[in-house]
Amino acid sequence: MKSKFGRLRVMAILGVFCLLASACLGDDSSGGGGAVEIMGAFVDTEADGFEASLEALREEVDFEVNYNGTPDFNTLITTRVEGGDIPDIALFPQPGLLLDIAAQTDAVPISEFLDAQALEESLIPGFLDAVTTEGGDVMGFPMRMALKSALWYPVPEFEEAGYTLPETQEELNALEEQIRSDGGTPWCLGMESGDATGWVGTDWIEENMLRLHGPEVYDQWVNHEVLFDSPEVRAAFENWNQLWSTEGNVVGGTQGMLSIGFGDSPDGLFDEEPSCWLHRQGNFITSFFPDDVQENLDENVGVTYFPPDPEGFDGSPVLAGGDLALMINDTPEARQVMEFLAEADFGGPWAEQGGWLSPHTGFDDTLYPTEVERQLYQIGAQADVLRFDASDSMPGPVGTGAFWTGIVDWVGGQSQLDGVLQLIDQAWPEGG
Amino acid sequence: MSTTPPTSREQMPDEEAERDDQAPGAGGTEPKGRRWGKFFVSGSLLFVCLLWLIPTMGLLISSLREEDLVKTTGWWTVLASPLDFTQWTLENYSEVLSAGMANAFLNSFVVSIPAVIIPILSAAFAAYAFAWMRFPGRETLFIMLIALLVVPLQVAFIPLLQLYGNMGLTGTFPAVWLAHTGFAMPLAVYLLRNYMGSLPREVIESAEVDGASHFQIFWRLMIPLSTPVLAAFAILQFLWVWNDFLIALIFLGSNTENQVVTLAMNRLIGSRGEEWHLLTAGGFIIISVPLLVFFALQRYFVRGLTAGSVKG
Amino acid sequence: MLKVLNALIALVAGVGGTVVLFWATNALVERMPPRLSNAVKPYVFIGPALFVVTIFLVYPFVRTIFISFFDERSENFVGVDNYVDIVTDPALRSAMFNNLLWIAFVPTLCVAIGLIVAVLADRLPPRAEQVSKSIIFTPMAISAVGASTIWLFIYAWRPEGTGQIGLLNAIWTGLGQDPIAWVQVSTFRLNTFLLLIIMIWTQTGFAMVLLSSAIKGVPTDTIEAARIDGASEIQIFWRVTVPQISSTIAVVLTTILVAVLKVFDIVFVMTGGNFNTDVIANRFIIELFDFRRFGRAAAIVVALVLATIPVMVYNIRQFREQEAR
Repeated sequence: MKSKFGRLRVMAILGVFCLLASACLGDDSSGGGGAVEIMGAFVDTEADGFEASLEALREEVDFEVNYNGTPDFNTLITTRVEGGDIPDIALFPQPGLLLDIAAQTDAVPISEFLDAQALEESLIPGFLDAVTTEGGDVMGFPMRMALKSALWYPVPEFEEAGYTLPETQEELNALEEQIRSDGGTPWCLGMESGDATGWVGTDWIEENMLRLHGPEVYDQWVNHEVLFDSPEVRAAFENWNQLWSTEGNVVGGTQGMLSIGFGDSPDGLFDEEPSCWLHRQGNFITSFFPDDVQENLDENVGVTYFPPDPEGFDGSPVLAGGDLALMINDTPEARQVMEFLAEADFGGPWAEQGGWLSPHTGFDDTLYPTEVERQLYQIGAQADVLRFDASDSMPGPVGTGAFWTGIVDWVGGQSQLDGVLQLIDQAWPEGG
Repeated sequence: MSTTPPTSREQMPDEEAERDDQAPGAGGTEPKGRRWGKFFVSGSLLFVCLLWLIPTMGLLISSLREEDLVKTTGWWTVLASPLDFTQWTLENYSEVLSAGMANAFLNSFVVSIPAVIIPILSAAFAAYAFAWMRFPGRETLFIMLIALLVVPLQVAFIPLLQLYGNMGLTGTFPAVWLAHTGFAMPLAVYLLRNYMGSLPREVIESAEVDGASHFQIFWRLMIPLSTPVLAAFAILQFLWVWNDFLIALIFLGSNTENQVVTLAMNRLIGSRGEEWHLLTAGGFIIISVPLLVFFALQRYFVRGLTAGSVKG
Repeated sequence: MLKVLNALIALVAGVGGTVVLFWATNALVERMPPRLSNAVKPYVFIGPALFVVTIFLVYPFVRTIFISFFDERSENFVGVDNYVDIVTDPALRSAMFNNLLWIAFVPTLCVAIGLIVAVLADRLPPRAEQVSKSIIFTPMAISAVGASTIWLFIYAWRPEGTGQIGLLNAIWTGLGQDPIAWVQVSTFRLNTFLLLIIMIWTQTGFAMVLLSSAIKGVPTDTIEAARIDGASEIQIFWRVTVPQISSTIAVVLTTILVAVLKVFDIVFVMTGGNFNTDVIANRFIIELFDFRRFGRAAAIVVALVLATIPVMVYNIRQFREQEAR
């Protein structure tokens, strides 16, 4: 009996020790006090570019700066904020979510720790509107631009075929007709994107809203002051409808649009004899091009500003997205990091690596490794006005819900346009 | 460990031999009908197996082809000329393996093994109590457990993060072990209790008469008798934990040091899925381990059973 | 190397800690006076299981019930509004219908095919039996995302005239038809059936493993007796084997049913819930993480749990029957 008790005590102590030991393991890498955790949605080579850009900051400061990227940013940020395990700074791909999280936490407006006025002037005009609350507080700022108003075409085939770049909607229509009469298919247009299928379509609608009606109507639309079921929005939908409902205008027809992955769809540009000639997509699409095309981007592909419609809005608006920084934990260290991210020349090493565009107008564009990227940057930098991807600013049930599924059902022929527009309006949360 | 339980293992050889004679060996006695029957058995089984194999074959072949080929021609086209080695490549595999998968593999083991053993052990004790002990609240508690089978584990993420946050557990291995233990418990108790409850009453009663305590009966009788179901559940739980992405993401995702294979894979494939051809190779690397576990444990639930489920 | 060592310590500590916990509490209880010990012991046995379940499932679920009566940010009490919303939401209603299809076909087909394989494989030589079972089992080892990727190679669509990379369309165009984007065909919910085949493909292995174990447990003398009585193999199967493994069948059906109710990853990867293929669990994920309407997401979960009451009632009856033996 005695020995049994002794053994019991030893075992119990051992057990407690075991549990403690295991609890401590793995905790060591979470960093000491003062460390700043940045959470973002980009991983892999993009994360490498960001890390490279952070080096300059790390040399200056005496605290750790850790970047933690995850492709499942939305899921993780929601859970971590709710669970109280909050990163110091988060880089949001969607302004809607940023404002939501900002409202839910103690995040302070950027004017508390930055010269907001100077930042506003340095950025491409319009960027900060997307992260401004109803009360007028600017909560975050972009640290990367995704330029969406870009038209891609194959080089040198395009020129060999005798085509010229369209500068207006009318010229674009004429070009489509010319390609069709030459026996080609004008558009590479694939929308499939797993659970996010639909965003390619919403981007088209947004582009059209901006080109046809200008930024003011666009903003009213984002705030639901202009309904989906309105003549303006209907016109934007119908304009796009013309593009894909015209026989032979899109590879694979509507079935193809919904089946071909958005990343695979531009591959047709690079076929021996291009199976399609035009592609509209953001600058990030280059990372989906076939390897041999990426190695020699400038010689394989050309890019131009997506032609505006002179009958619509008079000016050159640009549709963009981006990663937006929000400081969730207000600490002196985090402020320092935010100041660094907001500098106009932030991102040099990332630009040199490729795949990154600065949201500032005065960025040194010689840093970009390819002509294509320089052109893309200039499209953004020279725009009269920039508007952020509307679906990313709309409430979730619309922006990542009814708007996406509505487009998919409409293209797929499951629903008529009237029904789709009404359904999207109904999905808008009350009071929104 | 003096009592030798009436386990399966000792009886095994006979059992196996008996089965062998019984089915195919019996073919000779009833010539015609039996032979057709045998054809039917092998034929239809072959058919089902083929159906089941085709998709996996597709993945295997695709993982060995170049990205551009995968995207332009069907994987079955290689079957026309399988010896044309120019079409095969190991590049997908080397790319996946060079992307820091070794560390992730190690982490996956560290996550999986305790996340299998801890719930099985706790569930076995509970299942035994539910099956063979009488105590107030037994039925209510069991009903509650069954009801919890259907609660999606996503509802637990937020409260658990709050709890873990207070205890500093977020990003650590115990956080994941405990989460897997909790989420697996209803199914484990349900499966194990059902099995243990079907064991013959006499065995337990005679052990009780011999003066064995519940603790002894549990270790020396119940565990050996339940080997098949324990093995079956161990495999299920291992598969689940090994392939789990969500729990690892939520509770380990903030700590890049402790990445498991599914998370590493997800990062590799990229935020917009641009490297999806790697998924085919990565998929095979990931499933290799669960398959080995299955082959290793298979004999336990194929053989062990006969002794356990003699109806009382 | 340090990493490996760390991992090993973590492993031993985690598993060892649990074993010691059981061992120590039991030793403690056995030192109590017999009467007290007997009364306490069952709770020691179920204690750890109950403890983790309480923390990891009961508490979160109770909290979920609570949240389901509040607005999206869990700030204002809204009564049953969320429940009204989910029953009137057309997206959710369509998802419910699909779930019914999943419920009707997946568990039954898994059990049926699993049973056939288990019975037939039982008659093969051991080696052939192992190989065939392993083939059926393999898909289980593949994560849902991996499985869906595999099936993309079956259902994939390529424009007419170009090489098809999906097996189904290769066969279809081989028959002289135009390629079809299969997962988009919602006529008669064909695409839902195509998706649920994926789950049948993965889950049949589970059914087979458990059923095979049970079949091997059926005493051979009862089968021999029936054979001597002149019963055909099919009669033996239905009248002797099936009744004796009925409790296992019930367990397998229940388990797969529960898995089906929670299924979302296959749909998530294959169609993202588009083309009328959505299921309830996917709606829950979308409401929670994309729409961030916590109240509504919670209401969906509560409704899901309520929907399983019949299954639970059945299981509890089984439980009592087993007790009564």
